[in-house]
Amino acid sequence: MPSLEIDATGLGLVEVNQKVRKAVKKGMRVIIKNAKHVDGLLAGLIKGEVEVEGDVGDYTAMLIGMREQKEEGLSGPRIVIHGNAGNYLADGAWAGEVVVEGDVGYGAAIYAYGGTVVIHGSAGDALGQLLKGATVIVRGDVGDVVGLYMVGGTIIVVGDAGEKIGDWMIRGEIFIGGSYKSLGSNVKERALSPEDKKRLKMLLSKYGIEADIGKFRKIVPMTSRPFYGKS
Amino acid sequence: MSSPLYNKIVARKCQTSIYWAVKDEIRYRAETGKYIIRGFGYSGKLPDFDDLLLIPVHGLGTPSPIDQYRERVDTSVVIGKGMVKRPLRLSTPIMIGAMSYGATSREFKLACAKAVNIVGTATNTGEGGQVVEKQSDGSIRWLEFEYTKPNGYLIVQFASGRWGVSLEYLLNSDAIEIKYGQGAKPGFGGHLLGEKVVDEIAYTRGIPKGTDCLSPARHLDIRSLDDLRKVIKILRDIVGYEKPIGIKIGPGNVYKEVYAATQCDIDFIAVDGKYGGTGASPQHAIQGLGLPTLACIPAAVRALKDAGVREEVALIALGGFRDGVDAAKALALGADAVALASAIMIAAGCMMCGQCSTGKCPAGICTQDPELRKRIGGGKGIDEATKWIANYMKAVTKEVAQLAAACGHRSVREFNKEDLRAITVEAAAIAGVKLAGLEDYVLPQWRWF
Repeated sequence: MPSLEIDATGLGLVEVNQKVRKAVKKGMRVIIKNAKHVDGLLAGLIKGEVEVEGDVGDYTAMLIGMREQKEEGLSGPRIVIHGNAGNYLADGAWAGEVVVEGDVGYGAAIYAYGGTVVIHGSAGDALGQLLKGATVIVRGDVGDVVGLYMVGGTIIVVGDAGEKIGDWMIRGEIFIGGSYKSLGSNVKERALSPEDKKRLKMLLSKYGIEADIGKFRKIVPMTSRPFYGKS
Repeated sequence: MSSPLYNKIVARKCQTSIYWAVKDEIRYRAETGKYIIRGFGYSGKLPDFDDLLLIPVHGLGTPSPIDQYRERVDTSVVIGKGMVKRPLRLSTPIMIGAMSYGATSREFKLACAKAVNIVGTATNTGEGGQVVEKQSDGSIRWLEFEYTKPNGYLIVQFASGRWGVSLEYLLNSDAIEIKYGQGAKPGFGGHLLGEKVVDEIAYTRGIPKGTDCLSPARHLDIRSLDDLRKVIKILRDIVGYEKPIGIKIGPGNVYKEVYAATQCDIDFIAVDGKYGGTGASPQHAIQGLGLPTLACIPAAVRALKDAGVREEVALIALGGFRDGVDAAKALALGADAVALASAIMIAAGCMMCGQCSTGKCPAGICTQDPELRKRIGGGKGIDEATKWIANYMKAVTKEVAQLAAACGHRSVREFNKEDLRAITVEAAAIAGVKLAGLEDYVLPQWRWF
């Protein structure tokens, strides 16, 4: 596959994203360097393979993938970041794969409908809030209020979590391998089923993450109607 | 005490006390332990557009009136004249305000889309995504957008729940409105009960059937003005710098919030006043939160002027507009356009039964019940409702044009505050309009605005 290398030094959001879209349209693989200052890098990307060398800013990979890709089981873009990511990584994503080798900031995979986000380092607070269907895997630790208002999807945390994990979850599931400071409202801990263990093992091994599956616990909503029906 | 008049006297005093009108509400809370949830908007009397009147001219030291039957008044309005490639070029300053698909039916939403095509104006998806139709080949038809064409426009909302927000949703639109609040329940976010999340709504919102939809009170991924600036820049990039992007706020700290919004590169600001309606809201939010529309428009205008963007950033006013008279007064206060929602529902057959939140709407508007939905347009279907909505908007546009003519204007864009007089001191003070008779401001501060 032909490739294009983009040095983002001195370039803004428009220039970088336009170059990427054009290259991807031509079927090229893209490598981006020096893009930490570009907030919204790769936002709205629907296909292609992109690697970023070094850190990236906020809202990287926002709204990637298409609704049709999720519904039809088609693959979206594949993005690998060889560094750390800022806040709101893969915000509102619908399809594709985002792999971060370092740490990520606040609110990764917030609102995400689909696709997979893999973080090999640790993640800040608010990971996967109002998650609607994406799969989010964190090899390290996560911050507070992970999975707030989740209505679907899966969050897997190999390390520890902060306060109020799964606060006010409505649907979806959180797997945690380490400890957490406190459970959120409307959630309970449950043992993993054999099916859960099999799925977890498969997902972690796919991304080269070693973990003791036996240590994981599953956090699920107590009720799917925590707010309404009792005004 | 023994007089037979005694009981009559005390009963009458009780009946005129402030408790009489709300005694059933108090008993409801006492018997159920619940607060009241209902549809529609504020009930009561606050300073409103009835407290202002338009001033006609006669050509005696004043401009001459325009002959409204012979001469044309330009009703066109442009939203997004600053920097976008495709601004909204509306044939009328009358738009349809945001009402979500989910709170309202597919038939109603499509009737609104068809009506704005007839009238040449814009409608708004609200926060529940867009009415779509899945095709047999797996592709999606963006029906709501499609039905507004070729003459109308669809504004899509980007709200705190992001229901149905995808790349395609943003591309199949004419403008994007980032919702921060609304008139009926500012600070409360949005709510759609799982009972209304039937198959079609679940598909549009991308969630399982029956899931309660909570739009949080604030955006989870926009926590500062700097974040907002970044998000607007990213949205502009995603949609190719073609479409206007704006902000909608509720009736809170209007001056401060509008001013702040102008620092984030917006094309329009929509301000929803207290009379704004809703499909479902706690009554205490409807009644207790926010300021009247009359107070919001002048505050927004001042903020736009102070920020130096009065010409570039359009002001859309919402909240309690019933007819061309209200609309003309809002334009005179400084709005560039007004968006109607409750009145559009009434035009489409709403009987104001107040059952919006229950999903039992007998007019087929605020319901997802397949049988009740058949009642849209009085049982005659979407095209009948379309006709009613379009007729209503055309009539309101004519009213605005005729009032502009009587005020001596050849364009609705010429309306200004000198066209108005307040008939109450309160309205004069709140809206910064001269008091009738006094012919001056009741508060000297307004002279400088």
